[in-house]
Amino acid sequence: MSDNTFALEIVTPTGGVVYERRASHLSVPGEDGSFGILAHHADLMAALGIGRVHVDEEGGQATELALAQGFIQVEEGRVRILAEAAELVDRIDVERARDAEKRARERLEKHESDTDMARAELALKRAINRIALAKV
Amino acid sequence: MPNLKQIKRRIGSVKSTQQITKAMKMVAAAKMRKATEAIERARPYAERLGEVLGRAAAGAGDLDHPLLEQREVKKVLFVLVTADRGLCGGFNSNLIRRTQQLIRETPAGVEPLLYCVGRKGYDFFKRRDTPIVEHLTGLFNDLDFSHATSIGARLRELYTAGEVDRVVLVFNEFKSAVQQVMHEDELLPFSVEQGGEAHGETIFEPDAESLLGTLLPMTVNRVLWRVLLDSYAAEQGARMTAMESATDNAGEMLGQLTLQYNRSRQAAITQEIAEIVGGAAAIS
Repeated sequence: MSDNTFALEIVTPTGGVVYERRASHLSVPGEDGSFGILAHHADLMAALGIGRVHVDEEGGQATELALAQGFIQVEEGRVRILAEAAELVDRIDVERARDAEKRARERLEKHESDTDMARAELALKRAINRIALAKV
Repeated sequence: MPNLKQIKRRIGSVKSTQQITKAMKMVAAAKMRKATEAIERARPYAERLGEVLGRAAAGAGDLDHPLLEQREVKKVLFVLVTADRGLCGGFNSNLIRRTQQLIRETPAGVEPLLYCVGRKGYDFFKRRDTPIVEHLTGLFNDLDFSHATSIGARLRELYTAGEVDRVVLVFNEFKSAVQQVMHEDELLPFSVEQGGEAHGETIFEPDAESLLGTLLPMTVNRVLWRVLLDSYAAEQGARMTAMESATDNAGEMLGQLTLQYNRSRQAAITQEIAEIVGGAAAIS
């Protein structure tokens, strides 16, 4: 049984270790599309984008998290996700996400400098991701 | 000798000031505790990110990234992190003085620029000669990681666009409730220590070089987050100390005023008795 699970932890700068569990399967948003991780995965380092993390926990329960930019490291079977923000789906502050979405859209409409545009676009993506996941 | 009423009023005002400073001290203590807890929570992320960055750097071998590029310094940017508010002893003024000194000591041919984080530093420097490229004020009341990411994004833009060739952070580090240590740390060009044995079989996705492109901005953000938290905790510590000594001083003052009050009262009573005795003597 334990052979098919692996230790998973998700660490953020504001929340410390926000999630720590043994899991049997993990799906993460890679920069070029999402990919899955099973136990005994080879050592890996990869950048993660904005999107959904899906965990099948040991015991069959499933958990989802919204991820905003991060990094995954697999080493000797242990999996670690470093993210600037990661929230369990049921803990997403939808109101805040909606505010952020509105602000980002306003900034995009004003269209100031290109760099501000790029930032606003990212903010918009994060907000949309949060809202979409919170609805599930 | 001032009259009784005046002294009494004075005592009243000192007392209410003391109550305020005492309350401010308590509020500062609570905020400091919150800030130090946030520093603790940031630690695991910082450690692991540092480890991963070292690993990726070792895997990349040749370190080539715009944020690592060393250039001839023509423009240096001082990121001054002060508090938004005063009443915290020498917290802001020491930082400002140090920054002025750094600007003065900038070698000829190098242009100093400022990025002011926190209202106090901005208010001081906006009326002076050094150009302020950017400022961010009123953030500490509701400090959020997004503040670190937006400062980080701006600094990276300035650096990669070649608008500044060196970025130095000037801030107070939180050592303990009663001790703040002033720092001037170079942030950019970033220096990476290649660390950890390069696991031969580690898969880098897409490759170690482009992973640096993800990890370096993340690292810059987390350094800034730490600096903001440190500065905030240090500010509250400084305010706590300042308010404590203000409360003590008010207590001392109250003691003296009370003594004075009692003396005046005594004198008034003595005089009254003397007058009565004198009056009685005159009648008999």
